[in-house]
Parts: sequence; structure tokens; C-alpha cells
Amino acid sequence: MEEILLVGNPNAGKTTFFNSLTRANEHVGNWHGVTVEEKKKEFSLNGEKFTLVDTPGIYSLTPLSFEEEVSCKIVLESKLKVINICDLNNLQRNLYLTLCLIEAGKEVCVVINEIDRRQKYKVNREKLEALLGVKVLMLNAEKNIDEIKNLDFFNKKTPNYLKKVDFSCILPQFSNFDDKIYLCVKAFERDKSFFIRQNFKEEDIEQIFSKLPENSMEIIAKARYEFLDEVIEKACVKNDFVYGKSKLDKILLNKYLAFPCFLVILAIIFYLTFFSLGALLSDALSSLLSLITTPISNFLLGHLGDSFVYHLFNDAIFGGVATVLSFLPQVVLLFFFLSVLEDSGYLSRVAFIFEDILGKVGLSGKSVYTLLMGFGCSTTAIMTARNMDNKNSKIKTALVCPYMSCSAKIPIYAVVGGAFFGANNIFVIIGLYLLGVVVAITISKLLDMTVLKSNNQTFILEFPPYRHMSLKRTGKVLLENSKHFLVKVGSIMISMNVIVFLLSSFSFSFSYCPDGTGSMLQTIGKFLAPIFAPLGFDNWAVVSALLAGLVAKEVVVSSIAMFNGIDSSATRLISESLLLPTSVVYFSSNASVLSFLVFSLLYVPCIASVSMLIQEVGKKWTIVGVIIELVTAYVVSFIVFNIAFAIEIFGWTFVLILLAFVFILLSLIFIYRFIKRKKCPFNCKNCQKKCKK
Amino acid sequence: MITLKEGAVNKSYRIVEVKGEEKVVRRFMELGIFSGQKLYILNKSPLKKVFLVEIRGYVLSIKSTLLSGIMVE
Repeated sequence: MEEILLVGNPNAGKTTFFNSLTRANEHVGNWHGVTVEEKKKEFSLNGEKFTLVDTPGIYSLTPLSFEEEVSCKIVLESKLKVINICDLNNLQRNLYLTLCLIEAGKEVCVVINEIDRRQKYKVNREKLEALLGVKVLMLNAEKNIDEIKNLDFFNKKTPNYLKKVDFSCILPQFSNFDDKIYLCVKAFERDKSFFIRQNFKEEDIEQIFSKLPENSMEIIAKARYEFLDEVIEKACVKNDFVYGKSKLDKILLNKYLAFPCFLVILAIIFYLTFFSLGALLSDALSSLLSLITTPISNFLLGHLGDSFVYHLFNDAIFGGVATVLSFLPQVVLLFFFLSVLEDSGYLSRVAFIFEDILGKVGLSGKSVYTLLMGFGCSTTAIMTARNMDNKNSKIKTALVCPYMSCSAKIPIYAVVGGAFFGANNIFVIIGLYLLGVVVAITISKLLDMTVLKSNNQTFILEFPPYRHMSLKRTGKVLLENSKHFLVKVGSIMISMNVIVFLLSSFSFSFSYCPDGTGSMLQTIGKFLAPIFAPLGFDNWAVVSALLAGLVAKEVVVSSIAMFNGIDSSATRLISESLLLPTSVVYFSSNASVLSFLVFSLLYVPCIASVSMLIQEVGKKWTIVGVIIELVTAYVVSFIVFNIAFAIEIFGWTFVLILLAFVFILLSLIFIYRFIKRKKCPFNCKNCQKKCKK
Repeated sequence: MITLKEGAVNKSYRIVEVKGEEKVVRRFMELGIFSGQKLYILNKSPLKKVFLVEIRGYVLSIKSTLLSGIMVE
């Protein structure tokens, strides 16, 4: 079967075209273990079968990044025919790549994608075809690709702009080669990897490059662009508007209004997703589900009695399904809004506003959406991280997202905090939210400085215009993400639910313990309790509640209620029971309560989020993420407990003096280092700390 | 003559010279950013780390560290 390469600028609509043309048989091939995906799919045209190979976007045939290297290599080394997809609105820049393909002697079919309603150019197809000497087709990659029936490949090598370039300085070097001119072009582009692939020796390349005029890259780029100016003038009518510029930006990107506008938009999305609309849909789904499960549960209860099998089905399996389904509306709504923001072009603007602030801690501007949605639900928010441009900032965003205090933690703060802090609890809760953000920023910064450095490949990005969203595309995104969530994440969630159920209802000798006493979970809780002594709560029931909280944070409160023998819906009674020294779950001091709350905030949010992490960033990073979560939770709780404990014992003044002392010490160290750095009189280029000059 | 990094918002400039790291210069060339070309600074991000630049009828967002290599007038 004949393979055809699909090549084009980033964002020109390659993937859209790819999906329109080929509908089934996805084959994903990995190159070099880095996630550079080269997708292959079959399609048939006029009775013939072809394989279409999608490649990462490129601007020219001189690669800058690894992904581009992959594309350039296949284009230059294979003899495959090329479909070059061009975005009509950026026609000139897109045709630059076309010229590179023509120079390389590829047989090309240019497909001009006219996706926007408002078009920058009106193209005369025949004229363009004649001027370029390659087949030109015009179509809408999303809606109508009928034109593709005229698919044809040729290369008449018509463009003669290269004749105007003076290659004399290096032409003699290539006198033994057939394709002298092309080698000259590549030399002018200073494309070292090309010559290495052509088996030139390193020193030969250096010697050739040394003969080039200093601005050789500019000469060749100018020659191409001048030719393209001519082409556009002859074959196109140009509209005067600037692609990507909008009057709306005067408000939405205004110095003072940008942030308030963003916050308002986000608040609306947040409210709809997690409260009004989302909650409504969640409730509807769960009552729908109970219509099906209640009869089955009752049947089991009737025939098997209050047995293990009944609880397995009712609590573990149906409970798990209910949890998964209760997330579904959120997933759908989050992705709906994300795709609206993305398609409309607003997300690029948000990324622009936040790039410098989040860039400082190693995240990207687009992380904002994921992080803020994390306040609603970490699990679904992590899923939106896949939208990020590069792999490292995606991993960082996903790992850091759980520190945003999710809505499931509010009951813990309300019930446990409320019992001890009363009216002041609101300040405790605000403090916890802020602490989460601070921890997230710190961890992201640390990851950025160590293992997950930001790579600056996306230093130049095209800025999209505002667009109408496409319902078809949004529908597709929603369907795909919901499917992914239900099948992959849902299955892990339910199986984890069953495991925790088994742990909490069986002892290590596999005898069934219906009320949880003597169960594996409790034994583990008792075993782990001493570890938590430095945090102020070595109460085994608290530890068991935290363990059970791995399933979902709502379970923490209900476990506490179970241990204290109170109905879990009576929150006030739970709060009161926490104050009684006779209760099973009991906190001895405010310090230990604070430390418990901080631990709840920072440790693994829930199994669902872990399974989501596995899906999104892989096992390795999930393990790293979970370890970081546990360690930070432990360390921060430890610090909080000890400071709070010291305040309780020694009073405010003493601790404040102590903290002030530490602060002064730290700032002295900082000032000392600052002065030391300033002292160096030499203005060296790459100033190292150990300057020996 | 100043670098584009020092350029002001809502002003047009003409490029005199593009220099800097080879990789970056090459990408600028591919995007049609070379001497003689006119451009316009549309916007800067809050900490002035990213610029929105209009060139050849479309808009690019460029990190400001790269812009110090573009000399304009």
C-alpha cells in the first residue's frame, strides 16, 4: 500500500484533515521512546487504498526540536509523496514550507485549508498551481474534503528564485555532486544535521560553513519570501485585516481588566461545573442509577441476608459505579468549557496573561485552567492537563494539581475544624487553601529546578484569532474524554474501591468483620499510628480514617462517624463527639487538629486522582507524585503541629520571638549572599558563583 | 536603533538586524522576521516577559528574552 506523508506548519489543520480523511484503524507508532507520535491510518480514494502518515508540525526542513527532527527526517530520507497542508489565513508563511519541499524535489500536493469563515486571502487556484509548479487543492479540512478526489502529485520545479541567489562562495565545494544547488541551499541554511545525514565529515562541514556570508540564513529566507510576495500578489487577493488581532483584546488583554475578566469567566465556569448544573446532573445520574441498583441490592439482601456478598455488591461495586458516574457530569462540563475556551481562542490569551507569572515556577500559562479547576475536583482537573503544550509542564501541572484544596475536603474542614475552632474556623479554612497554593508553587518550583526542567521550545507561538466554536468538534472531544474516563479511569476506580472494601471488612485471617473492628484496615491503622505521633495524632482510629480517606475524602468524615458510633449525616453530633475524651476518635489539642487538617489537605487526595495520574502521566511519575504528596503532607503537618504546639504551651510571644529570630537569621544569610554576589567586579558572560577571576 | 525588547506597545518598527543564537535566528527567518521587515508591538504580558507582535498580517507571541537580538528603528 502506498504511503503518503502529511506535512504542514503547526496548527495548520493537519490533524483535522487527517481525521476527516481517515476514519478508522488507528496505529500509533512511537519513536525513540520519547512521546513523539507518528500516526498512521488507511484511507481509500477513488477505489485505491493509501496509508496517510501524520507528522509533527514544522516550519521548514531545518529542524530545531526533536519532534521537528522526526518530521524532517522522514520527509528528506523517504521517497514518499507529500500532502502539504496550508492554512489559508497564514498562506504566505505556510507556502514557505512548500518552497522547501519543492526545493527538496518532493512530489507535492498542496492542500489549502479554508476553515475560517473570514478569510485573509482569496486564492486563484489555477494561477497558484502554475506559479508553484505543484498540484494545489482547496478544501475545508473539517467540513468538506470532497475536493480530495482530485489528489495528484507532481513537482515541475517551476520556482526560479534560487537563480537570483549568489552561491558562488561555496558552489565549487559541491562540484562532485548531482544536486549542487540544493546542497548550497542547505549550506546557506547552516543545517548541520542534514550534512551529517549525507555522510559529510564534521570538519568538512565546518570548513564549508566558514565560507558562507555571515547572513546566509537571511539571504535564503529573503529570497523565498520575496518570491512568495510575488506569488501572493499574482495569485491572491489579500484582505487587510490582521490574523489574530481583535478589538476584543483591547478589553480582555487590557492591563487592568485582563485579570478581573478572567476571574469572572472562571467563576462562572466553576459555579456551573461543580455546583449548579454539575451537581444537578450528578444527582439525576445517581438517582437514575439507584433505580437499577436498588432492586438488585434488595434482591441480594432478601436472598442472602446481611452478608458479605450483599455488602460487596451494594457498598463496593455499586458504590464505586455511583462514584464514577457522579464524576461524569463534571468531566463532561469541564471539557466542554475547556474546549469552548480553547476553540474560541481565549485560552491562548489566558496563557499569554499568566505565562510570565506561572513560568517563574516552571508551569505554563495554560496550567491556570487545570490548577483552578483543581479547587473543584482534582481527578477531573488532572485530566485537563493533557491540553498542555509540552510534556514536562504537563507532568508538573498534573502532579501539583492535587494540592489545590478540592471541594471534597470541605466537609473535613467543616466538621473537624468546626468542632475546635468554632467561628474562627473560616480563617483556618482560608489558611488551608492558601497553604495548598503555596505548597503547589513550591513543589512545582522544586521539580522545575531538578528533574522536570522547562524546555523552552515553545518560545514563539502563533496567536490565534477569536473563532466561533464548532459543535461537531466539541461533541467529539466530549465523547472521547467521557469514554476515556468511564472505561479507563472508571475501571481502576471500581477495582480500587473493591480492594479497600475487602481491606476494611476482612481481618488478616480472612474472617469477615462487618463493623470494621479487627479488619485489615484497622490493623494497618494501629500499626501505622505510632508514625503519626510526631504529627500529634497517634490515635489509630484517626489513622484508619485517613487510610479510608484514600478512597475519597468524603469517607474521612463518615469513617470518623462510624468509629464514634454516630450516624454520618449528623455533622453536629460528629463535631461534638470529637471533643469528648471518651470517644474513639478524639483530638487532644488544637495543634493536633490543625496538623490533621493540614495532613488531610496535602496527602493523596483519592484513588480516583491516582488512577487519573496513571492515565495521564504514566506509572513512574504517579509513584513520584504520590511519594511527594505523602512526604510533604508529613513534613508540613509536622512543622505546623510543632509551631502550633509551641504556641499552646509557651504562648504567642515566645513563638513569635522565635520565628522572628529565624526570619532575621535567614534574611542575614540572604543579604550576605547578595552582597557577595554584588561584590564581583567582573561582568562575565556566564557568571558562575565560584568566580576565580 | 534599539532592541525590540525595549520597544513600546502600539508602535511600529522596522527591523535593522536579527542576531543571536543560531537556532533562534533560523526560526525568525522561517517566520519572515528579517531585516527590512516592518512589525508592530500589540501587547505585552503583565511582567513583560511575553510580547505579542504583529508581522506579515498575523500575530506571534514571543518570549522577550529572544527579542533582545532583534534590532529595530
